Amino acid sequence: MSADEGFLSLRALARSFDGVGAVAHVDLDVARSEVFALLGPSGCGKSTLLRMLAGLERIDAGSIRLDGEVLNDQPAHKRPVNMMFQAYALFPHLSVADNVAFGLRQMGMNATRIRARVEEMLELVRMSDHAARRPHQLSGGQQQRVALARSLAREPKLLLLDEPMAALDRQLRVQMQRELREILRSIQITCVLVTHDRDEAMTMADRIGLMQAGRLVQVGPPEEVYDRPRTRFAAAFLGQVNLLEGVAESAERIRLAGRLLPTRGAVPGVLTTVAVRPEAIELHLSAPAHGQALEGTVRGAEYMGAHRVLEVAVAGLPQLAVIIAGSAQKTPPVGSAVWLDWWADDAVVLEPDT
Amino acid sequence: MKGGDATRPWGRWLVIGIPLVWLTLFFLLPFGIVLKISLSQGALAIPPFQPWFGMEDQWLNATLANFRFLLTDNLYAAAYLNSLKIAAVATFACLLMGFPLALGIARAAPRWQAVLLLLVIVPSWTSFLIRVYAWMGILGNTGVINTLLLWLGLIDQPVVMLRTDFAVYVGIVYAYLPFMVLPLYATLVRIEPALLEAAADLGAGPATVFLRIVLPLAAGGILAGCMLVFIPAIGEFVIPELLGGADTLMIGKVLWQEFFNNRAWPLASAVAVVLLGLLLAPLWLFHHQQARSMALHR
Amino acid sequence: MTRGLSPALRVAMIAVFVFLYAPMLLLVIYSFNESRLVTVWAGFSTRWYGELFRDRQMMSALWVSLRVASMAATTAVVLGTLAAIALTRLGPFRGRGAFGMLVTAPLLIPEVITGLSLLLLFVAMGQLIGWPAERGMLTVWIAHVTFATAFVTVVVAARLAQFDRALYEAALDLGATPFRAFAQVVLPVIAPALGAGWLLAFTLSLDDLVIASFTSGPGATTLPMVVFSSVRLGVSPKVNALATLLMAFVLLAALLSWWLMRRRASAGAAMVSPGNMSRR
Ligand SMILES: Nc1ncnc2c1ncn2[C@@H]1O[C@H](COP(=O)(O)OP(=O)(O)OP(=O)(O)O)[C@@H](O)[C@H]1O
Ligand SMILES: [Mg+2]
Repeated sequence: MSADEGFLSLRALARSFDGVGAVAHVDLDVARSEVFALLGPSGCGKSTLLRMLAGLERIDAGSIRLDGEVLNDQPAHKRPVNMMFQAYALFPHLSVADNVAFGLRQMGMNATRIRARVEEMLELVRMSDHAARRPHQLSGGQQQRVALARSLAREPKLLLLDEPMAALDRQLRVQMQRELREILRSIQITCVLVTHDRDEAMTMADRIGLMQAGRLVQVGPPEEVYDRPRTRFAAAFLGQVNLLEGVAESAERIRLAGRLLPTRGAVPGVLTTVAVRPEAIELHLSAPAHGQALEGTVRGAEYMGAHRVLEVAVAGLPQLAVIIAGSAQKTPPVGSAVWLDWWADDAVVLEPDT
Repeated sequence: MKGGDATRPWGRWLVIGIPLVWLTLFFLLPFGIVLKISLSQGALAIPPFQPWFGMEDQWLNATLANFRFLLTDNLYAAAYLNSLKIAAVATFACLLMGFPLALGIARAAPRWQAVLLLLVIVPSWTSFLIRVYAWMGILGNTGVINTLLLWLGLIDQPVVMLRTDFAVYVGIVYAYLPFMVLPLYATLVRIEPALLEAAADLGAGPATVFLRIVLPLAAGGILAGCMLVFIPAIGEFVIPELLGGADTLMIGKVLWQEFFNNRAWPLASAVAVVLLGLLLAPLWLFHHQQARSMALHR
Repeated sequence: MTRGLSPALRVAMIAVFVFLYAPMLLLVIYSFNESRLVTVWAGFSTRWYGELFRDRQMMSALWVSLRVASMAATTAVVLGTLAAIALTRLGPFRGRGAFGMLVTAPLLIPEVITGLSLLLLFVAMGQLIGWPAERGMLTVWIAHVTFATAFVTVVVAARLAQFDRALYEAALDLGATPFRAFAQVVLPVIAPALGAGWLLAFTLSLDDLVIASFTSGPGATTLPMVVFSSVRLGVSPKVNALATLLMAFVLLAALLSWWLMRRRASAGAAMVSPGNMSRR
């Protein structure tokens, strides 16, 4: 492993509250300039992990190493790490410029350099026109940019973002995600961000770490985590999915509702769960020649604009969701018979949940 | 109740009018009378000033003699200045004691905060007079402190504390401490923990966090608390009377003596008018601050 | 702002609480001392309690004080509630700022000034219209209502400001007249604050020395006036006994309010609002 790959490295990191593990034995390496997203449901320990990196939460066990230096015993104000807080935590009694300058003043930088750096940071987040304002005079999006400028001003080796978009409304969120990603890429900063919004994680991050009950259950690039989830939890958390249970006949075949459907890497003779994304299912209006498609009945259709979600009942299986593109004419009416199958790569064999 | 009262304006006027009439009659009007009597001459009569009703030339009787007298006798100037000094020092001492307490309560676990606040307030539910009196038994020459020190052999003669300015400071701090703590607590508890963490994250050590974040954000509460102690302390009578010495000059005591002992009502009125004049600035400051914090927390 | 308490902060807090409570605890201890002297423990005795109850002057002053305080508190709650409604619920009206200052000014004006000015008013009124003919319980009542109203206003206004307007509007919407909506919807909700305001006004009146000294007359000596004249010259064991009884009473009230607070968080907030303290 090169120095760049293990720029930030966590080993067996743990923290518990009243005997309950909020973060349990986390191992993780983040490369220099990488944007890494911690994704997980509410209460899974994301914020706690992030606050341990910032030095705001005690470490019970394990180690944090950044750029070759062990951070464990450094107090928050001495770490080369800066954080953008969940509700921004802008100082209400200071102007925008003074907020950005706050961290620089603590470094003992001289006034001229501080002014230049503040200028530069406000330029970066396009807030130069509002330097003299107080935080409460800004919109949510503007506050977020100031918070970003403030945490970038000290040129931290590691930037931490806690739910950066949580305080914004939906439309603004999409715009700010794009903007934030551009800024992070342009300055090549190493960044760990926390979110429970999978779209946010997927658009912003180079890699995603999926957390469940204090543990990292899967780490990888967004496509990989989405396409090849390892557990039921991972599969379900990243998007709509059909979880189907059957006995594997061979490594490439699983028996479902009396048919043999394709998969990969199953263990023959074992009760196996496969995950199939709704958009990976192929829908046929007549029985395919190979005779191994699932036969079902359309129970309902939901129109989502560009695509439709069909609910299909197959005897002996839970109701399936199938996404099809195209116009209303091509959609089979409710009550009609349909046949479903998929490519072997699209039926992912899951490990049991831990 | 905006909507309802628009249709019944008389209800609205009753709601405003009743307290307004009462306070005008019994609070505002009396100040006018004080001012008027401060401008009249004393007399050996009952009441002890020259009458001013039913006389055509009453304004001709008006005199600035009482105010002139306040200027010529150094006693009064000294009493005003000493009251200001004692109130200021006691206010500062209150702040020094009250701040850690308020900070501690604001940082305690939420379920403890109400209990701790109640503990601060409960003493003020008991009699003010009795709480001040309690210190007579503690500070006296044969009081608890002296007895203890003598018994420990730390001193061989009682330290005179009762009937000194020191005792007055103790009394004011003791009696007014809750008024300092409550507004301080109210502002400190509103400071978001994330702000302190953000400051630490940006490189500020504990002292810097306190000076640059906590203190500025608590400024409103500090001002309110100080005014709630300072203003009434200036005119305090009971504390200097019970705990202070014969030479403890405080203007509230002087006013009392002019009125009750010397029966110099016009002079006492003049003392009151000047005192009120002195208090206008801090009173304005307090109201201004209250209005500001009301606007901020709407 | 909740974070852990540092040891230094803990120690400071404990020290301040000791400072607040030790003097009162000492009074309780003295009150059971057989000896008249504070420093000599001559054995446990309830002698001073007996003497307190046999003290004709104190007992009649207590009776005067209780009557004045309950009348003043009741009037102050009415006036203070009206003023609080005017300040928080009527929307803007001309002179509202001045009205607010007028209502709350008695909170901070030194008592010697309030007392003197009221006395001069009563004398002037007596000369001019022959009423009040002499000073007594009536004039003390007026004086106490005047300054206690300010405290009641603060307590009730704090509660009214949190009151959800929608409740009142829903009552109007359901056909209640403004008066009925107030009596049947608003009043029950703010009742704890009214109770707290009444108690506060009651203790303020019961405790007042300065204003009562100015405004009372022969035959209307209040308890603080008697206590003051007896402690002026030094420690008095009877007053220690009186203080102990008073503290026992307040302790009960505090426990009651703590218990209420645990049951109803919102009522608790009203109980410990800054306005809810008696200064004197
Ligand atoms: N100071 C604390 N004291 C006690 N328990 C805590 C504390 N902080 C966090 N926890 C607990 O630790 C667990 C993880 O909390 P954390 O804040 O890290 O979750 P999260 O993943 O950030 O959730 P969210 O998405 O809701 O912000 C939760 O069960 C929480 O209740
Ligand atoms: Mg969180």
